[in-house]
Amino acid sequence: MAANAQPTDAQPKITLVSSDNQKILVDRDIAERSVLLKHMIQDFGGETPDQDIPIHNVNEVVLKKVIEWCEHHRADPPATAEDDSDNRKKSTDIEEWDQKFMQVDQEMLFEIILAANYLDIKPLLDVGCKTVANMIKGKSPDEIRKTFNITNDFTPEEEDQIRRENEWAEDR
Amino acid sequence: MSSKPKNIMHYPPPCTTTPPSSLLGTFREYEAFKSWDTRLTIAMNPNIYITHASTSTIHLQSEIQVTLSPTTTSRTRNVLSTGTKTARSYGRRALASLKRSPRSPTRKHSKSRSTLKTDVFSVYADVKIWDTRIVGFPLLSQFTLETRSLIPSTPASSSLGSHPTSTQQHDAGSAYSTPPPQTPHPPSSHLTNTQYTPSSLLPSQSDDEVSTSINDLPTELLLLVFEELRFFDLCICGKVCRRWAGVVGGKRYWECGGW
Repeated sequence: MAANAQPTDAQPKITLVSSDNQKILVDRDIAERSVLLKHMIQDFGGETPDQDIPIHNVNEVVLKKVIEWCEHHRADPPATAEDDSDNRKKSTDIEEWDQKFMQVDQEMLFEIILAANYLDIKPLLDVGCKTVANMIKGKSPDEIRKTFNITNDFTPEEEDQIRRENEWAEDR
Repeated sequence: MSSKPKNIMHYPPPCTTTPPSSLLGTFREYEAFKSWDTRLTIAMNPNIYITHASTSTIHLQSEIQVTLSPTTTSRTRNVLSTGTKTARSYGRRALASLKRSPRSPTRKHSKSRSTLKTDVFSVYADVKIWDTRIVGFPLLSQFTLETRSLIPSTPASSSLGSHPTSTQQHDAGSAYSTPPPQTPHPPSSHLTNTQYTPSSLLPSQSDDEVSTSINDLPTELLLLVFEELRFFDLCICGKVCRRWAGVVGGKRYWECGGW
């Protein structure tokens, strides 16, 4: 958990309600790391809403994890349009803190990714996707299947076809 | 994470409204390809997928193309309410240009019944979803639709989860089946209870414990992961499983499935 996990008194607070009906109090600026929540707050006329905001798709454990990330990155500049273009960093470039943050089991990792996508927190989504990409890089198909517990559902004919199509690469 | 509530798996949230009964059908996002010739049994409301794919600017309803395969000869009927405006062909199958709703289903279906000797028939459908972020790259899915609601007065019907009798399948692509005549037609509300979420959104069935895996990520997120990979790693990903092959390589891996 980040050092400032508890909201400070100076900040207006927002109560988020997780999918398992757990209330989590967060500072408004932390909640606004989520574009979804930011727009919801704007829909309240810019006032800090005094009612709870339900987050139907994220349970308490994952939501706290996401808030932990938002707290650590609360001072980061907001994402710009350029961040969405080709200027995105490559997957090796994950901050050390983020790398440690993402050292969770796979289930939590994918739930964080899903939550980041739902809450529209692009930097967190990026970190999650890069982490998964790093788990894929340099592995063989079998190793990837083992890593992610994926079933090989190709028919023998399809595998033959794939092998033929990839002979040029395997001969290297 | 054994205490994780199940509802986290409903991502994106399943549609809570009653689906249009004429669109009840079966849907499997990618798993469909491994059972190309078989009937699928999970009900689907396309609206779920619209939610699911909203970031990819996909409107599934505009992409649904349906062909009826009630006999060995392809026959196209305007039976389902999907709002698509296009009619194309895939191989020998003529795809229907669908109307908003059947204007006078009674006459058509009376004829259909007399020809096919069945009260309820299924529709074989090819669903084509274009992911706009990779131009020209079709993500192909398949589902089977049941049009029971179009024949409201029929006394016989198959249940949604029933499988067609193999002898009644006239060709490999046909999902047409004759239902057991003694089965009463269930009310449409019964069709949605447990079979309403696309299988890709359902929790893993391998364990009692609900678990999120990489293939629970929707395609747009899987693509974000793949965007981080170099070309060689991407080629490797295309050999992992059918879903990944489709996401990485496009249509060609489906071609051996009959496209």
